[in-house]
Amino acid sequence: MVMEEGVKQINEQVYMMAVPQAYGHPITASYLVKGEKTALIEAAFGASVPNLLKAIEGVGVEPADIEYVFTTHSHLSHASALGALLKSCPRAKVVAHSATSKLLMKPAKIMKGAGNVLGDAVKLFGPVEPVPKDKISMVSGGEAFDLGNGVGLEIIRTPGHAPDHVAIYEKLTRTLFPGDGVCMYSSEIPVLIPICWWGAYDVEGVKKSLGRLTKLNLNHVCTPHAGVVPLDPKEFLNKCMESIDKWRDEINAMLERGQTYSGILRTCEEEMIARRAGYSSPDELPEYFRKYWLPILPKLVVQGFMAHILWKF
Amino acid sequence: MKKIPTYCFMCANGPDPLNVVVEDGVAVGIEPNSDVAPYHPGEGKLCPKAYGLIHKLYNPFRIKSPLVRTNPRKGWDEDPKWKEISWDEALDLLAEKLSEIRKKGNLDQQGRPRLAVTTGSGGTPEGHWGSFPAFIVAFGLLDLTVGGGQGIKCYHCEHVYSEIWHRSFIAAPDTPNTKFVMGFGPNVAASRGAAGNRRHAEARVRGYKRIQIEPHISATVAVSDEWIPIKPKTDAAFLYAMIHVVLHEMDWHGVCDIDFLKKMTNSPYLVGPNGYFLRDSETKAPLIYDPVDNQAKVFNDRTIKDFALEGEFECTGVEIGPDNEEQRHEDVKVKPVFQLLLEHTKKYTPEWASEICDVPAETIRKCAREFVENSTVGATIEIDGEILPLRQAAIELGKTVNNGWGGFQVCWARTILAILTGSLEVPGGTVGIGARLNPPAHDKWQSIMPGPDGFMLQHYNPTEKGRWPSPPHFRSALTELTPLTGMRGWAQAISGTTLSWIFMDKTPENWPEVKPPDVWIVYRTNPLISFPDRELVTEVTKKFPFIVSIGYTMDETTWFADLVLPDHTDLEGLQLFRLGGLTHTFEAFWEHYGFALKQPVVKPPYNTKDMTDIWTELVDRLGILDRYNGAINRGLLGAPLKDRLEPDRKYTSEEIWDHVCKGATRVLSGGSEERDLEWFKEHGFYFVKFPKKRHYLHPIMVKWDLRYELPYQEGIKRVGEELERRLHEKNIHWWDKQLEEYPALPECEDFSKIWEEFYGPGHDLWAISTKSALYAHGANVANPLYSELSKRVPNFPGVKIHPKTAEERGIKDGNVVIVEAKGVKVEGVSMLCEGVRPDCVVFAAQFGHRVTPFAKDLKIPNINDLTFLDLKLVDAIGGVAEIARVSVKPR
Ligand code: SF4
Repeated sequence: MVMEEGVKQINEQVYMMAVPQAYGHPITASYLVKGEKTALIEAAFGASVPNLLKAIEGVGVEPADIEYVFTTHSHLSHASALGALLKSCPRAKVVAHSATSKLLMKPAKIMKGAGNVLGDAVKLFGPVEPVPKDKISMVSGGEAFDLGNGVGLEIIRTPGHAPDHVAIYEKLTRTLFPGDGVCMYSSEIPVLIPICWWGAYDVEGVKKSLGRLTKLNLNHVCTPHAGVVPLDPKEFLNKCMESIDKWRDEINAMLERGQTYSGILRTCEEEMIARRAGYSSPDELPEYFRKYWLPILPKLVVQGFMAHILWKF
Repeated sequence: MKKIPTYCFMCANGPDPLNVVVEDGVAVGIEPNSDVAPYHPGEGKLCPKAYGLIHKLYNPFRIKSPLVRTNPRKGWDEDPKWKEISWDEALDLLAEKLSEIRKKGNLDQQGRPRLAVTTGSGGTPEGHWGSFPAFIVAFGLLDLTVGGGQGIKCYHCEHVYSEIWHRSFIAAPDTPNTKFVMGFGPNVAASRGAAGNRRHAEARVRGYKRIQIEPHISATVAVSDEWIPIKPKTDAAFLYAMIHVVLHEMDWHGVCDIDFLKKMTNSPYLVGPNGYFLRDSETKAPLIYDPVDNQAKVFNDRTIKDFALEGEFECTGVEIGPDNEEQRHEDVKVKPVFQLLLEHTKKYTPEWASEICDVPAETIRKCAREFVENSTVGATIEIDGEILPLRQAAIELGKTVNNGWGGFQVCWARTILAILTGSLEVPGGTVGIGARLNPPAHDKWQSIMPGPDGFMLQHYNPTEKGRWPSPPHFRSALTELTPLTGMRGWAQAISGTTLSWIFMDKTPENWPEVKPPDVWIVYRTNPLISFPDRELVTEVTKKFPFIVSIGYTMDETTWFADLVLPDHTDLEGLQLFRLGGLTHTFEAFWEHYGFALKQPVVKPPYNTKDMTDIWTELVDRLGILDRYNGAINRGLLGAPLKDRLEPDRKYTSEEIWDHVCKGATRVLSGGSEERDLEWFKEHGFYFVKFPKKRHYLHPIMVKWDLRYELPYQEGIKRVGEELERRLHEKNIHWWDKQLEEYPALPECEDFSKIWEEFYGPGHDLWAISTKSALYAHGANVANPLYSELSKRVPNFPGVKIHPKTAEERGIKDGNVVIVEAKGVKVEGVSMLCEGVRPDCVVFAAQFGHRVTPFAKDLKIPNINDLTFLDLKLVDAIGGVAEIARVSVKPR
């Protein structure tokens, strides 16, 4: 949402790496998890791989020593750098859901899917190179990866935002990497905004997955697009569930009143995001958000919920 | 006696649920299933063809066990010397061939799939092919573009362009609400099955008027109010002249649906000097002109007070041309699309059309006026609690009318008439039935998402520099030559499948060699009868190294097979299949959606196999059972499974469909109900309500603030220009004529001249074909019942010819005549008839069999012998019209 550029240590084992991307500002943060072995979570965009490598080296880790790169799902902002990144991380295995893996091997669909949402802007995010099959460790949920020194990452199946979505949980520091399976929330924009992608938002799926996550004992929730959540983790996850229902009900009510897409989108930008976040209008929102997220996020949310409502009969 | 529910799916109207009466283990009768009456648009009635299912089951000429060819030579005079083998031997042999493919890699050296599968008419094989979709996923890339008749037997231009314009695979009149229908050729009375005919009958009782425009009196003309005998392949000129009448002879401000044009189409978009929309320099959104504020604004600007449709304005902006090239314009003169349409249609007068169509200009004027009057602009109707526009006039197109050259113009002009009157996708007007290139099939609302420029999102194959040609590559060159079909849903099957045959015969210049597939599987189709240029298709078929025919009697394509697998017929196989909603190809307008079971009604009398068991045995032998079961788990057979199949267990067909029955009912009921196979065996079907308003796109277009990409084809123009660049970069020029078919506003011409020039002098008559109610969709030609019945239809096998034409040639009724085209001769029996234009002869579709039991005895000629696969006759999306220029003389 609004993430400051730079590298930040979250706890003893976890570093957040928010490096300049596409438009020059971080859009997806990667997280480095250090045990005896090192893992990277979320690879972001092909074009920003050099920046990411520099950040990794900056915390004293040789990219060549990275053992695993986890991706929560196959969308452009999470997985498109993997092919390029592996060239500098020869040891690394990509850990991804089996459906994600298929797309990673033949990534044309990743670009096509992103093109549906971003249009031509998709080109800014850099090339998507395929990941060789033997570099992928396919998971389906429940797998554990031991990094040594008590540090370990577990895979939790969280379909919803995307059917191939997984979350990753670090058990020693009780840190959750939920991918896009949670809402966006930051101190600058303190509203819970569901993260939808092109097509109908799988409201039930996301809530079910969130329900699974609430059972975890958590210290930190490290999100890809808004950094570390500045709320109590359990409270945050519960609020996400409530918020998703609320967004659906509000958009449904607008549709029932005869409002159409552009009007609902306007309400979403002006009222449901700007005003509720404490800004008098979208023009007052922080510049980064206004420039990079405002043209895309509200559209995806409104489209996701409208399709969810209108596709049902 | 037992009554067992199952379904008929022998034509594109189905599936239609029915009951089979079984006595002492013998199927003795077919009955309508009265339980389905409340859900079925034809009140559960069946068409006569369904009654032949019994005869199909007990056909004495059935293939009774797997066969292998022992004579390697192939030809009409070569006896294949079939040898009966066991199922294990047959499946081992096929698995060995498929496993060789997998070892070599699914793609040949040119990047095309080594395995090709061809299936038949109107999507009907889907209701019989069992778990084939899961096999496809498990096996990986295969080629579905080796055509069995698509592009010539279907409504090809309508399929492709209507999916772009209004997400419809078939566009039909909203028969339950319309008052006036113009049918350019569709023989609906012979081919729309029980439900469609019921809808037509109800409309006639309601007093609707139908004008049928076609060269001969078909079964549909017989139930129409007027017949206009038009010259073949000139329908576009008729429709263009109708547009001219509306825009230039009537007061369009008064008779058109102005609000619809302004808000639901691109009529107000400004067009720049290069023919692309003039766009806002910053946002790149198309501009319109607001005549109240006297300034150009972005099309969805909230401050727009009105949209200019006419005039010329000086504006600043950018055009985005091919390969995203931007051109800036300062104070350039631009016009709205509608102004360009007015100018574009000025020359297409009824007098101009009359010369081409051989129809009086006044008749065209009268039709245009009636169309507009019946459109009832301004009227509304309440459907499912929503007030929608009611426009009670529609235009329907036939097969040959919208296949091949001129088809694009016909489809465009028909749709333009619909937007002028606001009758597109609203009650009473022209509406789409399902979407097949933009899934899901049952509900077109779900295929709509907002795309750029205020239109619905399109899914063309890429043509921009660096992205063309995009893999995968198929024999029909779907991703290389026909980008408009996209790659979703039925795209492969509906691509230019004619091109596969043309290219396999002779690879064109500067093109990667097109080789036959290593293995070709043919199912419920007979390309050696149904494809044009049968000689070429036969010669190409002979070159195929290994052909597998899955079928129930011997037929012409099977004659060339290496392995024959007899599957269970319709009354023996097991499958759950979706029906209702918008899944049916034609205008049935179901108000329910659900699934029905096809089940064995008796113990199969012969050594045949269930399709699902065939695929399961194959994937097991290939070692890809886990991928196959995984695909079934994910929902490839109709619904995702809750109780998942274990990856490496081989399940029986019954076990698989039991899981699918449960999955499907859970999805339909929103998780509240689950019905197993036993329940379906007893009850036959499971439905939920399908809201009527979902038959129309209008409500969802309004909710998404979307416009139809009409009348101006900016997107198509860009694709065409990019494709031209790509092909010319590779020095490919044999597709240049087709590249002309990407205009923003299509020009009309006398398309009949293309055939006249191709066939040349000496061919003075048109040969056209017509469907017969008995044999429509061809699934029944080997059926003894229909053969018997056809003998009772007077002059059934005749070549229809006008008495005057016959007399000039010394032909009498019942003579054997020779019909010749470019040196190819066929024989038929003349049937003199006033109800055919004197410049036409009419063939029944489609016969000319040499091998198929019963059909071979009918001695009816096949128009496909007189049609040719030649790029000169192939349109931009790969279609060819089933029409020929011929000479006729007595034998
Ligand atoms: S209309 Fe078609 S599917 Fe329906 S009963 Fe007749 S042949 Fe069967």
